[in-house]
Amino acid sequence: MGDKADVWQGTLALMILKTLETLGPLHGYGVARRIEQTSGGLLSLNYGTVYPALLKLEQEGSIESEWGVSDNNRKAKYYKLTRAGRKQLERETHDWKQAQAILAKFLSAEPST
Amino acid sequence: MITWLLQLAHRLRSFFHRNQLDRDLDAELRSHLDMAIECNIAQGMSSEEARHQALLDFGGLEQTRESYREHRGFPFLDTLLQDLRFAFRMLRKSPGFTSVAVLTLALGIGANTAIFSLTDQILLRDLPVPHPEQLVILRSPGPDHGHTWSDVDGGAQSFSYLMYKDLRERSTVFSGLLACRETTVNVSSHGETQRANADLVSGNFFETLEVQPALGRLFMPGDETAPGANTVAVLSYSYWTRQFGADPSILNKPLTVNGVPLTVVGVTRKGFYSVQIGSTPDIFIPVTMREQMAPNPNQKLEDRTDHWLPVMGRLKPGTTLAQAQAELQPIYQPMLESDAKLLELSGKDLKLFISKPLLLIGGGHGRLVRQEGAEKPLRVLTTMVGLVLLIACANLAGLLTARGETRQREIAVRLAMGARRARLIRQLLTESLLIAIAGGAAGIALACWCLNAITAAVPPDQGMLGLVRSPDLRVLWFAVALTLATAVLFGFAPATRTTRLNLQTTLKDQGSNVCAGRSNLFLRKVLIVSQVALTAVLLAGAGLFARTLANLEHANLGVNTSHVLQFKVAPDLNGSTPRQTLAFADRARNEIAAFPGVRSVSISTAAIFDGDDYGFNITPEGYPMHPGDDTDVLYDYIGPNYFSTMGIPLIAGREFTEADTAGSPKVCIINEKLAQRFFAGRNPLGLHVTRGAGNTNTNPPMEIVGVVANSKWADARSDIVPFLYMPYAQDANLGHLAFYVRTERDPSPMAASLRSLIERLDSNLPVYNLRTLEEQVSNSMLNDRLVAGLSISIALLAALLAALGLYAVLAYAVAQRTREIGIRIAIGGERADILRLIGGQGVRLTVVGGAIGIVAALVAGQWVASLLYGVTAHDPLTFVAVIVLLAMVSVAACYIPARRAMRVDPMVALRYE
Repeated sequence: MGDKADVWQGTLALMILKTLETLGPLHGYGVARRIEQTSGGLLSLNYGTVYPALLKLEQEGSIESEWGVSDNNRKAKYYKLTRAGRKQLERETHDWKQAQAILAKFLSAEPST
Repeated sequence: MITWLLQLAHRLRSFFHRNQLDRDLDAELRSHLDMAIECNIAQGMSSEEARHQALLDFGGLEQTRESYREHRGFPFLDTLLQDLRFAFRMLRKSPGFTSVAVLTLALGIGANTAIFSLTDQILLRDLPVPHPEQLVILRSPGPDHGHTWSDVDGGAQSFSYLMYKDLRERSTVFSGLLACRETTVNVSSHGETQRANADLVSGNFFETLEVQPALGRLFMPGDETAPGANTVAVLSYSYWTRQFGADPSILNKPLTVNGVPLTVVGVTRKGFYSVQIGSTPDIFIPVTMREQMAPNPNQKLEDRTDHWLPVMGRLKPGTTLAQAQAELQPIYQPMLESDAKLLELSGKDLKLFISKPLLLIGGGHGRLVRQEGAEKPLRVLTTMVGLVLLIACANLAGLLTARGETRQREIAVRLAMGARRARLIRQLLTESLLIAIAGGAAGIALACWCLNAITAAVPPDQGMLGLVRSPDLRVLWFAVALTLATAVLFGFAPATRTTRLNLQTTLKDQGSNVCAGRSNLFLRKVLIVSQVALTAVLLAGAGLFARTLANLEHANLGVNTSHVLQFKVAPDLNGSTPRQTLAFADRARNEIAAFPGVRSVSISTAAIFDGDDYGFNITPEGYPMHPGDDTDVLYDYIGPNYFSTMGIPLIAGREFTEADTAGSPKVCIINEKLAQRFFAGRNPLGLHVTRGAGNTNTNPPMEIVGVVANSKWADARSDIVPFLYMPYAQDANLGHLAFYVRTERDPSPMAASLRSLIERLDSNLPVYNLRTLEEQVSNSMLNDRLVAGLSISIALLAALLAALGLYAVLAYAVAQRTREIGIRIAIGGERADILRLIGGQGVRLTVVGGAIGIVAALVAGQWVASLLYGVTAHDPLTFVAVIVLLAMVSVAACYIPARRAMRVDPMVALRYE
């Protein structure tokens, strides 16, 4: 199990949004599994933490939910992106990439002699 | 912003659909776990293992639910509701504690709210007009020359009409400068004449105050043109509804005021009264009608040497008092100089007169005239009820600490189970808040009752007019703020204290500790000592005021007040000349004297114990005048038999008789004080007194024909002053009359026949202040009566609360120490020792508290010294009484717990638990 990173505050929402964009409407369990799988097992994610994050996104109007039936005929609550959610995803992806680029430049700076 | 709103909407929805959403979340989590288990089984786990793994991956169902909820509705509200429910249950479980706590607070909050309501109405309230903060009062302190009328501030706020007009025209700092003077008039309507309160006002009065009419129009500058020319009137809303049944057809009808027909042009809006709080004018009349409305042949509207008119201004927005003052002074100075010429002032008088400043003071509260005597008593009472509230809070803090101790095990268990301390404190504070709210609500009800009782004690024609009985919104806010403040005050210390405990010892020890926690006991002792000390202060105050009232009631007035009926009439307001008034006075006097049951009757022009006083300076015959000699005396014009009717002993000479007429030689009677002051060692009879001073004096000398004993004049408090009596037949300005009728038996039943007699003599003459002389005297002590009555109630309340507090602490100590006491008795302790143990504690607390309180009361006494009469602020008798009373209270409070301690049965005490 070794060194798994904790999920950074704020990035979970972005991951959820991205997951829903990629996979379309999905239930909480699916979202959690997907995030874990995508990270290639590098992230330590309590599945339970996904639910408050989903609620927060729903409150902000980025996603909406609906009860449905899963592949193996189980009742589950499905979440899907709204238009506002897509915009938020775009914006945050952009921000995130920018931040990453800045940090990358910063960290790659050679010590001056 | 939008997302914030969305969130709020979502949270609101969530808050109201909690249960539904909880079920929803449960279903979602269940479906999650089911899917996870299924997946795990598919990977080859046993169903038991699969379930375990799924839960492990999930990481705490309960935490998820909790954090989900925190995001969802209003967690703060949720916990508050939870706390409230819990607190409610806890309080219901101990009804004794709850009712004592609520009652204690209700008394404290109720008393404070009632007194605040009075203070607010009398001292703190703004005038009900737009932007009251812009209003200012003009005052010019300094020496007065000419005639100066004064209702407040030593006459510094009175100006001549022409001076007012000049200021209005020349100043630029005001958006309006108004003048307003109170007076009384006779109003005839529906065939009868009644007295009414009138305000003589400038034409811009309503404009400046920005008052709207309820009907018709209000005065405009065009309603103030020339003396006697503006025959219009505006009615106040309450007079219009009271006297005319709110009949709109009153508009443009004539109303006869002081015999002059005035046209009613409008009615002021509801809620507006005047520029004086406590004054409720019925009718407004242009100031130019002065000579018709306040007939005094000596007082002309446009006399520059007659200062009679209070002036107020509305500053232009943004102008400060200092700016306005700086701008007014150069305008005012030349006016003073020209007045000084008219007054023929010279030398030092001139210099002082023309250097008078023109000052502005804030007028938002209106002119505080009636407030002068009420301010100090109200401040004292406010302080006293404030102390009662402190006692109540100390009491409650003590009760809550005791309660906290009995709940220590419960709290220890909750702390051990992981409850956060802040959460527990919040829980305990919720409980105190609940008590405070219940106490506050009961307190407001109590305040209404108190206000009713207080206002009922004030006769309608005395003191403050227009006092409201029910607390208004401002007062309710005050009560609410007080409630919250008390909740924090008495709730916080016990809450933090109760939750700060050593878990191990509390849980190990089955709550049967032999002695209560040291520090808690100390806190509660401090609380008791402060309660006793505050009570001592209040008792001392109440004692001093009670003694003051008793002294006033038994003060030697020099007048025999029993079996005397008095009433007043003002024929001059109906245009009666002094000659006609004299004829009326003689006739009425003779007719009343013929009444069966009347022993004697007489008349004076100024009534006694009515706040009137008239004075002038005199030149006594043969008295060597020294520079700076004060030759001021008070005077009154009286009828024959005055002294025998009033029961004032005649010491030498004679009373006035029917032979003293307008045409007979001028005579006077002096009191002993005047005789001693100016005729010491001489027989004053036959000597002369002349009104006025100086060599240019043209008044006729009056021969002294009698000397009478001293008697009080304005009220029982006032000092005896030199007094000069003259026959009313020789009063050139005879205007209004006060009748005094001494009867054989109870005078009250005669009131109606006196009223009808006057009506028969002149149907247009309203009779007023018809009451027994005893009532009149008692009315003049109204403030003292209220202060004494209220302060005694307050102090008794405090003593009761302190006794309760002392009792609670001792009873609790006995309960806590039952085992210890049992052991003491079992090993042979004397019951007397036990009594000493418990009783001694109570006595020690009382002695310490009492000592502190007595010292504090001695210091505080200086502050109320001006309200006392015939008793010093450190009156030994009062303080001994306070000590005795405290001792009695303390013994009463100790008795039951001490007896219970003595009766502890060692077997039962030790077996218990």
